[in-house]
Amino acid sequence: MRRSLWPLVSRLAYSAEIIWQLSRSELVTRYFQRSLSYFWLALEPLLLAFTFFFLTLVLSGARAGAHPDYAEIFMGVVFWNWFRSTANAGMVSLLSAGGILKQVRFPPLLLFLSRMLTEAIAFTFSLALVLAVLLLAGRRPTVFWLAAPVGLGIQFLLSLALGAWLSMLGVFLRDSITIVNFGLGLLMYVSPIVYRVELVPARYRWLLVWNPFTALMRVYLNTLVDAAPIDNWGALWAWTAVAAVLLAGALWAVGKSKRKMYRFL
Amino acid sequence: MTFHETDGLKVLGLDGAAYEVLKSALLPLEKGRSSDTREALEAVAERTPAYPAFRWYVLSGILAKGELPRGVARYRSMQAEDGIPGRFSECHRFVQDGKPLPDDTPRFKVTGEGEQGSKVFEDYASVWKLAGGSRVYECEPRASGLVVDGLVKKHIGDDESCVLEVECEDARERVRFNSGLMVLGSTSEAARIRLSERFVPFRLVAHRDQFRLYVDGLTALHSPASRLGHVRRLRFGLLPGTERIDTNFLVSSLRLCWGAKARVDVEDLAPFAGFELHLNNLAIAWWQLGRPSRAAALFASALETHPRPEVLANFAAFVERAAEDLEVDEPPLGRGLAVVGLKLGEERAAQLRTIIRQKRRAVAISCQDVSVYFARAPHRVAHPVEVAKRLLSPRRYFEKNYWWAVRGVTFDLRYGETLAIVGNNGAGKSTLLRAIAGILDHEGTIVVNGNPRLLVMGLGIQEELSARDNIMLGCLYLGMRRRAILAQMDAILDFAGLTEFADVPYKYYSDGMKARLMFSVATSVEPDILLLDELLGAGDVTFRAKAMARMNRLLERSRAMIVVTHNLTFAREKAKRAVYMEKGRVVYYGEANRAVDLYLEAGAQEAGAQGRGDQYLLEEV
Repeated sequence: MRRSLWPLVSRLAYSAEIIWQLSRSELVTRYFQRSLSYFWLALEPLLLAFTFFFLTLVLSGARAGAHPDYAEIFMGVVFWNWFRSTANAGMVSLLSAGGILKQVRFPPLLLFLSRMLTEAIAFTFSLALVLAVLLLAGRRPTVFWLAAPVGLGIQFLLSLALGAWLSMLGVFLRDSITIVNFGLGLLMYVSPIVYRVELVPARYRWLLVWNPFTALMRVYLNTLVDAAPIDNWGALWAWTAVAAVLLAGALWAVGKSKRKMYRFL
Repeated sequence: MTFHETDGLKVLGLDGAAYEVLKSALLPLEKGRSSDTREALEAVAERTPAYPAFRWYVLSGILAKGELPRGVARYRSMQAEDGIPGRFSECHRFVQDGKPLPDDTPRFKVTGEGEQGSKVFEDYASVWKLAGGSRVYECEPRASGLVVDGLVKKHIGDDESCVLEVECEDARERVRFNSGLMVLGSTSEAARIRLSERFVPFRLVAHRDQFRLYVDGLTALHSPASRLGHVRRLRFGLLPGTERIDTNFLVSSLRLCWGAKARVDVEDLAPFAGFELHLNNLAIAWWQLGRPSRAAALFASALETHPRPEVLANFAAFVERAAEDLEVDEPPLGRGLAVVGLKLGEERAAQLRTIIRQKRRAVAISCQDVSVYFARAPHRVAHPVEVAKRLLSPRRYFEKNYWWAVRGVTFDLRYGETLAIVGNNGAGKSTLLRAIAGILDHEGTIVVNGNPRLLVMGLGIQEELSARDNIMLGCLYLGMRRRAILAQMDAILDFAGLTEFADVPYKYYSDGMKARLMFSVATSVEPDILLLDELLGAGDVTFRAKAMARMNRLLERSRAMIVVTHNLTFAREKAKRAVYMEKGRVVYYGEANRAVDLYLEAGAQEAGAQGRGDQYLLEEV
């Protein structure tokens, strides 16, 4: 038993080393050239939140009560931004590493996963800000905050699955970059991020069921904002299953196509 | 063959300092410069008494310093610790297939003159002999087996005038002592000793169907297997007929024991407790020092004496990893594999034999009719119109929109060979190399027996990162582990001459510094099968000399290599065979000089036709 497991453990440890080192290098290169360096990890989500705050509450002149408050908007935007940046990073993860994949036999999956880790690390800074903003907005920490990682976990799984498929699409079909960017933009507006589900006319609400972010936002609102337990387990299980199937399929496809990538990189 | 230092330490069971001393001690020991080695080992062994393997080095160190009484006392205490008296007392009861000793208990007969001493016990005797003289000891054990333990030190001259003879019913063995060797007469195999410098411990065993001579815990010699019968007579002293020759300075202490159990297991023949681990440790150390044949012999000896599971596992791992360097028909390895068959099953032994045969004689890389094609416009492949065209007429579409970068290439590369690939730019050399490296999909068959690594310049270099970070990334891409990279970091920086600029971002380096860093990273790994794509020519003149030296070292250490190069002198000198390619096809495959000549001729013809004279001929300079 020990004999058979050791090579696997060793390979996993080696993979973890590579993923961490690549991710670390990515963080260094991403923030090195800026004067404020790592402060941008916190500044980026703040600026984004301000933009949405300005657009939705100031310019649209929304009435209090009908719209979510700024803390909710900030939370939604940060979580969405993680999803979007993960999808984008996944899409270019192999394309941008073409020089490496064309020169050495290197597992493309590790390149992809390192980008995912980079985005996750950047997100943890944003998450800390989200919690701080919620506290400033008068939300007190409750035991339900501990359930929020359920949503985060499912979102990460979905991001991985989507990112893995997009990483291949990015290589074999460059057009997908434009299409996906359009799709992500659309998805954001049809997701209850800057508005609550209740604002959507009843006859269109069934459409939201097919949007994973509806279920995820409900988890975040319940646990972090409304201090209530998760009440949509069915939807969460369903999206978990979908993500798992998608991820397994993506991993299989990446493995099968890695030698064909050379021609398209 | 090397493996990670930590692994080696783990297997050896030593701490870093002790391991380093053992490692540095072994080579001078082999070359006979042992006094410094012994001093060092003694010092380490005193600090680390937990390592049984060092006990014999301690003894040798003491004796090398001339402290004879202390050394003899230590030797006796070691024998006592090993339980030898108890073992032979027990053996006494099993003499003659379990029957008691006959009444005529063996007696010592001492003839000749000279300083000597002896002490005879019921079932064993100790004798010692000093300096010149013709003193000879004889006894008639009449036992089913015999063990002779000894310490011997001899100065100069009188080659082979002193012997230890054992006469059995059906066989006879003679061990000759001379000033540098102990020689087993039946096979003429010798164990190297430096008698003039120190006492050397040894053990001769006569048991069942073989004589075995263990010398200094480093060597084990075996007579051919044949029926021995009961031991009749033992004689130690001058070679018969040389009584008049002065033996000069022969200092010896012999401890003779007889009456080994009739049904003793092979593991009972271990000369002393922990001997097998000692041999195992030495085997691994020699393996790390790049001497697999010596390691194989030591492993085999370790297995024969007391094959603990960990020794068996080490041996199996050794065979698997060093298979290319081993010859399955070598007697020591054969004996080791026989023990594996006995202990782990014949299936496992057969598996190891197969691995050796396959790897030793294997073709490292075999390319059969290999072809690689590319799309002329990859970005259009998924266009709906193109998809429709491809569906309507696949063959026509392929001919029109794809081209062959490599077409129908066939060659073999065996272990121990270097193959050069020459040809003009665009001939398909690098593409072929990438197909072999497993990066690129291909038609035809590529069989690779081993782990090939394509070394390329500037792998994963990032402008914003420092040299240190870029080394880490580049080496990771080349398949190294983080710990190994950190261990090599300073050496890589030093080789590139960038120690002072290790933390400066790469983008601020000069072109020369960049080239040096890229070369240093690319050549920091030493894979079994090396694939090189134009790694030569980095840096200034001084660095090029260093780079060439490192390239030569890579060449020496790799088991098989394919090099794509425009350096034709390099191809002529380093490669045995070469492939000359043009437009994706092999023009010539065979002897390297011939391939280079053809390439030059073709180049000269083409240049001549274009009015460029003998420019191609200059390329070779």
